[in-house]
Amino acid sequence: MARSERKPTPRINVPPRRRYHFGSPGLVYVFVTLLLALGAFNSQNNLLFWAFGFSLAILVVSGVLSGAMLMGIEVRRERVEDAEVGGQLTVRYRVRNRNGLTPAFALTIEELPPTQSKKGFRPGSAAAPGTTTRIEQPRAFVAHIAPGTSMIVPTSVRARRRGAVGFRAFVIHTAFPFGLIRKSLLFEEAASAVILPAPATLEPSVLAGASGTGTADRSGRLRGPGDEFHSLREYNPGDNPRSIAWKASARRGTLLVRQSLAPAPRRVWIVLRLRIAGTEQTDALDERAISLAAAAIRKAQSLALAVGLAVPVARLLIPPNPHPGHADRLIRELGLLELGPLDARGLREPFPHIPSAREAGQCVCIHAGPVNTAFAPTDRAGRATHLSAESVRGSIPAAAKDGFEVRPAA
Amino acid sequence: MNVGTRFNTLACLTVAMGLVTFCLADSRPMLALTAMAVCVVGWLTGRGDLGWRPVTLPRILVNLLVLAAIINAAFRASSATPGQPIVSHLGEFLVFVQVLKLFDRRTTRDESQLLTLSVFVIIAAMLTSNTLAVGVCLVVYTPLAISAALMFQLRSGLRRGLTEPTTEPPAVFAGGRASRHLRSVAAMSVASAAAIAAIVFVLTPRGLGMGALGRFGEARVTQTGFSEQIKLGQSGFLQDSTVPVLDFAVEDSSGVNLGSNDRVYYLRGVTRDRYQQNIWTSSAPTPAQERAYPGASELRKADAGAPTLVDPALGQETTRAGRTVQRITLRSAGGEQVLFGVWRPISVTANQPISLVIDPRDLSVRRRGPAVTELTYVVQSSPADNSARTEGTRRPRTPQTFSRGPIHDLAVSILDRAQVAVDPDARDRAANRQAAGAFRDYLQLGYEYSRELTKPEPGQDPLQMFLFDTKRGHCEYFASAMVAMCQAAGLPARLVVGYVAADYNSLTGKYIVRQSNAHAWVEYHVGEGAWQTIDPSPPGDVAALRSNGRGWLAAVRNWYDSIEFGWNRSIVGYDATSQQRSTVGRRLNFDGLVKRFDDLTGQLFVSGKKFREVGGVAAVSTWLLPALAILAVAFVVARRWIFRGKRTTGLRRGAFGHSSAGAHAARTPFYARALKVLGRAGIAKPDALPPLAYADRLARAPSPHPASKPLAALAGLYYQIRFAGRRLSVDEQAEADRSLESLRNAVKGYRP
Repeated sequence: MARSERKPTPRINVPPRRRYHFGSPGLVYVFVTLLLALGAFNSQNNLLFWAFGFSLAILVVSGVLSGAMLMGIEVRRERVEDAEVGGQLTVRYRVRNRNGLTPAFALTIEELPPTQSKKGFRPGSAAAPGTTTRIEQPRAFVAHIAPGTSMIVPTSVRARRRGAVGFRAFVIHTAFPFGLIRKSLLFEEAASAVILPAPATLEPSVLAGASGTGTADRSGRLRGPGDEFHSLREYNPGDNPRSIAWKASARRGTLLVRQSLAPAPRRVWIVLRLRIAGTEQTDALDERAISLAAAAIRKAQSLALAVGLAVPVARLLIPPNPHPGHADRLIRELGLLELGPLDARGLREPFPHIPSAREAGQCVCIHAGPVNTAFAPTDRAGRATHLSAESVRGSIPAAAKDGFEVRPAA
Repeated sequence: MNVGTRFNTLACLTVAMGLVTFCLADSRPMLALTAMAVCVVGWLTGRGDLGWRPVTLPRILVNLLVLAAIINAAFRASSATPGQPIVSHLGEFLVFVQVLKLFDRRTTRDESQLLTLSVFVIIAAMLTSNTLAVGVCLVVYTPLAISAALMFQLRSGLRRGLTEPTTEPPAVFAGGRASRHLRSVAAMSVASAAAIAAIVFVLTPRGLGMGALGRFGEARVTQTGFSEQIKLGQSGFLQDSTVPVLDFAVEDSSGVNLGSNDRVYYLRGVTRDRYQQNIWTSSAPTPAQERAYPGASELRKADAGAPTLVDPALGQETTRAGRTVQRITLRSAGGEQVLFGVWRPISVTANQPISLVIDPRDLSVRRRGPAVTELTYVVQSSPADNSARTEGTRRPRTPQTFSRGPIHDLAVSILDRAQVAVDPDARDRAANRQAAGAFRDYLQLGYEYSRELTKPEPGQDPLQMFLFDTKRGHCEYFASAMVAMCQAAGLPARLVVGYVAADYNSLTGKYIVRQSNAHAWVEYHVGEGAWQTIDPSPPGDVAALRSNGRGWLAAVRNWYDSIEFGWNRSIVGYDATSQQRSTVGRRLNFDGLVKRFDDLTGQLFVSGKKFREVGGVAAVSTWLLPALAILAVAFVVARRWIFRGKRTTGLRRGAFGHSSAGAHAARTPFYARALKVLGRAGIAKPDALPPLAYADRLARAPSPHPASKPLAALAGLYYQIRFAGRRLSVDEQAEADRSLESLRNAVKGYRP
């Protein structure tokens, strides 16, 4: 099973590729123009000559105007923020019209589907089903942008499946003014985002009684009220007189205050046991398990617990960390988990050794199937909380290949 | 600005304007009114801001109605009456479908069809009529249609751009700036398109390929008030239509305009001299007449600027000094068209190739050829004598219809009172004039002019009804009575029908002749082969009925007529002659181009005829070779066009060391194949990205592509050859092959 890593991809300034698309409306229009010409020459009707002239003129004006509009358009995709399953993934484009005189109308911005060839991509065509399973194809429309101005154009799409979403290029196109010729600019800009798992509904008893306060048998790294000595510092007015280190002060000849280390926050391990069902529901159960894990991480975060994550099948082991952003990191790792083919190891091997779980802390084991306590690590007291993904209430979508959409926790 | 509401308004206005234009062109006021009412309803029901959903008819009903319209149009077209062009039926069908489409607007496609149908309706209108009113409607229609098209693009884009479908796109334009820009774009588009269209209109050679594809129905020919058939005894009212028929200008040989508000000209059409069963017909030509003009002879087209012309009637040369030049523009000309003229023509020249035929009986001139929307011709004549000395000094033969009876008695009594000799042999030229004057005065003083047509009693002759009972009638009765009395008195006379040019437009210097200006008068033989024109209708009544009136209404009318004249002259009447006379035409020599094209098409059609008759190899090759040549040219052009793009791409790729460009390409075939594999898999390497960097990008993607490793290996080998100038060893070559195979397998089995 692969564990994706997200690293910033460099932006390469590739000049946009310009293309003209002559679709069926244009062909029909040209055909009608030819008929007008034939009719005019055959009948020598001067009004038909006028009509023929106008038809040609409209073609010329259409091409010139659309070209002039797009020549001065510059588009950049802003950084795409992560989103949760079932939520909205917002993609923002900064559109700038460098033209001094020509406004731009009816610009459509479409992301290129990941598996779509750039040559074969026809702007304005609907995305082929299944090409973007995690999100719908983002599409934005700019009705009007004045000359010399810029604007941010957001578009939101529903995040349907958990996982990484890559953007490699987008196309801006317009058929303005008459819809005869469509001109497009292809911008190659890579970006990525992660669709995070939506937390499932967690039983209230999970992590109940745990608190962020440390048990004082282990100190953390942060200064605070505690027993373990950390350092001395000079006395500042307002400090508690009881924290004055008299002996050190006498030696130094100035008042010094003792600083202690706060006890380390309670730790909790979230352990995921995946790919164990061996049935058609394996993927769905794994997704439920991941959602449960996300819910547990969020709850631990709310309780100021130091939470760690272990997914043995993915060889993922992230120790607990009280840092405020650590929980987000864990959620992100859950979002990037790629569920590969069934792994038989999940069925037989116990969880790998998690030494810190034996110390003070809790272990929440989430099984993507029936609970089997034989495979669970226990804490010092031999306790562990087991959860089964089968107990999660939620609907499994009819099209399993499109992924599972977890209802966000109320 | 709400895009949906504004588009609905513009679309309905465009549709309405198109419908009005067609109905105006096809002279269907009731259809226009009905269509307008439906358009208003369609506009109201299409608005989404009034709180109700747009009304749409069920699809099945729409389809059934369209099917019924198709059947109806096909049936009517197949049984079309002569004179009604098929395009009229097609236009009617389009109008019906257009109106139906107003209530069948569900998707963006339906709205685009609405606008497209409107354009087709306009084309049908242009095919039906070329009047000024249609032109004005086109001027109004064009900016509406362009604005509707612009708004349609915004509307359809808004609908596509939304991820969730909504019934009505939201307002997206806040403030007036966007509206202002949109109006500017629309105005600029209209102006640019009009300028380009004007250039195309002026430069497109006229006469090229006329009728090459056959005639698909005749264009609508305006029904003139003039009729060659003169039948008395009908009931009703004479038509008082003010539809212009022709424009008439007369000048002397030095170019001085002879027209004025006070001067009236009689435009002669045809003559009739035999009265039989209420109908006036022509006598058969005499041998002398046929000798002078054998059969339907051709009137020689003479150069209008020639100093001398041969008078076909006199057989003598006439100088320019004595000629009168009449410039006549017919608003429409049928296949067999009478050409009107004031005096007997010496020469007739036209602005297009025509076949002229002169009738030896009365020297009336006709044109034979296809119907045209406009015909301008110049008649040169000598006003000194409007006679045709076809029979020398002999008195022409007179029908004996009125040699006895009440009309004869009346004529004799009038001559007695006027103290003119009754015996025709005893009268000289002056006496003949006196006799004709007596008949005219008798009618003008004792009879009343009226446009009301009275039907005679069964068995009663309408001419006698007029002369002895009602004593009122229109010009045909007056003229008929005078001709009858003249013939009864042995004075050769004939009934002339044509037009009276009385409505002089000082702005244009021309007379506008309308349908209501159709008139009948008399020509009588004064002697020595000379004929004299005389109008027996009461002059005051005729003037009152013919004139255009005075006052501001007349001034507006004159102004409108002058614009219409300019429209007919510059737009409708712009033809090969006008083009050749223009500066551009002289430079570009359109005449030669048209001639060459005509020769070519003539040869082709001759060969085509031979092909149909003979079907030989030679005929086939005559058609086949040009067709193949045209196809070959089109193929070469298309290939160049396509290859130019590929060549440019190739050059660009070569600049980045891509594919087959460059001297190293022959040494790195594996690299080119790798790029092809990537391209087919949909992950083609960008041109601006070096291959190793691209492999790195594939590896560092959120979902690492398995092709990254083999691509990196291939890129390394490629760099060795490209930049280090090395040659691959056998092992390295084998590694390249293995990497290429790995790459193929990687892209084949990869699914994101």
